[in-house]
Amino acid sequence: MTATALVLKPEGLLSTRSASPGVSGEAETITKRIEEVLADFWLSAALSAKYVEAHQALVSACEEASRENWDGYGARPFALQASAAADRFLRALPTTAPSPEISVDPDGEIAFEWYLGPRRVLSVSVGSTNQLTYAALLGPNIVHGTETFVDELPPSIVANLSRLLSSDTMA
Amino acid sequence: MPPPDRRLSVYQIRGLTEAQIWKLGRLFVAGRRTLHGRADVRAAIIHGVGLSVDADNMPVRHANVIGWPEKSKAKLLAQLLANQASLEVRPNGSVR
Repeated sequence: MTATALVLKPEGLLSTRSASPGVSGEAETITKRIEEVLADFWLSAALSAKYVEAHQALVSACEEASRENWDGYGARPFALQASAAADRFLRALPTTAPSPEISVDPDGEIAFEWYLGPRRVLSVSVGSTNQLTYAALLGPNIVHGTETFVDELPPSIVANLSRLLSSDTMA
Repeated sequence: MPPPDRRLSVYQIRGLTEAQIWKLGRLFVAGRRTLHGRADVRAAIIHGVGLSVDADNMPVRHANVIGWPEKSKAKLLAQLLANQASLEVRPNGSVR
């Protein structure tokens, strides 16, 4: 076996230095593999942080809408089942999707909105009946509808999110 | 989005000065809450998406946007109105 040329950086255990010139190809391979593993780790940590941030936004929105008439116009409080479904919705989002704005609708459903600019918006509301209600302005196109949601995002939601994020379709 | 009774509360501001509009908001809308801004939209745009304005003048200049359809279409109409509305932020900071 060959010893690798890995040297731990003083600032952290999860940082590696590239193999020194002159070491074996095997050492370079091992170093590269370790760097790949660490890259996966950091990606995972970043995604976890993204979820935690979104989850906190969900909690804040629910706290704000926890009482009857929380908006002064007769709004209903969020339902516990809706918040659980909203959390499942968050977990089901594609990892590449930007974080949505989270709020509570006047009917107590929880709304996720991606606003990218004028006529570039998608809003999805999650209720307590396994039903998603969505609407979007996608450039010159408009869409709206309802879908059943259990654990996986319905294809129409994924497709419309992709359309929203694709600037090519906005002309 | 409209409230559960599907009557979205608005005020008619045509002919008012900026100061009068903010005063209206302070007196009849804000209550104990902090007034940060407002969204202005022309009645023609409301009518253009298929909604109606029911002016009850209780209080003065008050009206409701009515005729909201089922939720997914209502979300779409709300997006269309927001897209055409202008956001006006309270110029000298938020007021109660």
